[in-house]
Amino acid sequence: MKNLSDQDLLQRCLDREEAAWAEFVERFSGPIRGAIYATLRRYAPELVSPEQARDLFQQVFLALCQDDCRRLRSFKGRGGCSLAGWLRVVATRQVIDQLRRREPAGRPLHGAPGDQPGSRPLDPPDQGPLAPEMMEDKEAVAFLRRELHELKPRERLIMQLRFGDGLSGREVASLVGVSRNHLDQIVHRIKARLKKRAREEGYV
Amino acid sequence: MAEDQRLDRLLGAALAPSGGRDASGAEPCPGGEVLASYLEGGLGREAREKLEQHLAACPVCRLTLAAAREAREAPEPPAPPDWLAGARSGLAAAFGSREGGVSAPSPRPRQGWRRWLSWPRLLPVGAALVTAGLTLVVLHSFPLGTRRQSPPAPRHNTLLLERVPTSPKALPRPGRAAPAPRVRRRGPSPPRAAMPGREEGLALAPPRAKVARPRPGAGLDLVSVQAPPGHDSRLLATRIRRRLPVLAACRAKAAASGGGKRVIRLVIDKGGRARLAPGQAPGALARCLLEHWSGLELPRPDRELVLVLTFRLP
Repeated sequence: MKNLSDQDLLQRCLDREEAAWAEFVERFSGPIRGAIYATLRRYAPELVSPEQARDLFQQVFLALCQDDCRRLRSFKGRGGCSLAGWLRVVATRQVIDQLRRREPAGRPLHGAPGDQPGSRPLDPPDQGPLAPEMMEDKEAVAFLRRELHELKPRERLIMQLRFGDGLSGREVASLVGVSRNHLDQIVHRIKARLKKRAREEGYV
Repeated sequence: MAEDQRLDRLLGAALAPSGGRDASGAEPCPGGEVLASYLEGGLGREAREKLEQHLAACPVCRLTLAAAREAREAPEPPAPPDWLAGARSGLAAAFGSREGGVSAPSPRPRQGWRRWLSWPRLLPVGAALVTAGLTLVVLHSFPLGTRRQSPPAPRHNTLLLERVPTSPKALPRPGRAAPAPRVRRRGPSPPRAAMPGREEGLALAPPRAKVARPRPGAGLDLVSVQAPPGHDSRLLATRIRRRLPVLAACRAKAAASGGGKRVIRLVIDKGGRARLAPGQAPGALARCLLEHWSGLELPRPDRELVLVLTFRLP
């Protein structure tokens, strides 16, 4: 079983071989455990504990096997996606779903206005989202939304991650798959363009 | 400087998750494979742009992606033994195994028309068919009239016809014997797909394809081809069967060790080259397959895959 490729192992699991399942749990315990801890540390550091993580670990495997392994059967490896990478995403989604169900009326995970500063790394990087009391700022914000909407998908995502979600430059660069220098150039270029447009429209 | 700070502040407000969602936010979130492929840099340009458009509007997917990226870049030690044991016992319970293992799950419930294939339902149908058959035999042996019956038209095995792709010319005509199956294609091969099993509409085909009958020419009967999920085993089996004469030389070598079934496990790399899978004994048939693999002219896979080929030797 140790020598089996991931795809072969998956197939044997779907064929319900006991030894294959044992190997599957062992082989992918690292990525799944890592995803659980990373998600908890990131969005609910107060909940990080071995017991909590172990419960979530079991839940991920159970979710994979539900409905005759429906979710596991859905994996096709499209786009060169590795099984370990897919399992990381599955585990992350599972933990986020649990956290959202846990605090439906409490602190949202996505750093919406009203978040406690520092409680979540996805908070905006400045002193908190703007509360635009002044009509001038409201109009400027509406103008920026229109301008941002015109950006290319990648540029808009970068601005969203950097300024909306407050990720560090290193994190954004890693997420979108560009170097840190390249990311800084993209952000600088977009901001220069926005400033120019804002001056033309009289917002700055 | 003050202008830059103000712009940053305004951008934070404009991009706050409470606002700024466009219409694409209403789209369903992409599957886990898409997000994972994005992180691994495996998405094509069009798919990547579509995902980035969705991500810009979907905070939950951005959360998922950010945490998955963090997990990917961190060291991933295996889970402690008690976690593994807990997961295994949880799986055993989920599968309903009484022995505590995962090897005895309840059988999949039959759905749709398949539920009519259970023994209790089929028994009366079978009895009726047997009775009808006996009646026909009796009537045939003792005809009621004196009129000679015309010779019966050749019966076509519809199952075989379904499985063997043929042109209209290859279909048997009434009153004539079925033509011998074409074993060698003349002229250049048609353009091949970039990836095996990735043709339109074939990706969801079952992973194991049975070959209905032996193909003359090679003296080898390819019983089945098993490929990883995402690859169309039936299509691969068809392509290999078409080129089986290429392996004619293998028959004599393999037959020297006796007839019966041979299961060969091969690893096919991205260049379309074959090598023996780990644990595969280098028997005569396996070595001959490696030698002639390129002659089968199979399309190159998008990534390394393991094929399990089952042959039957006469």
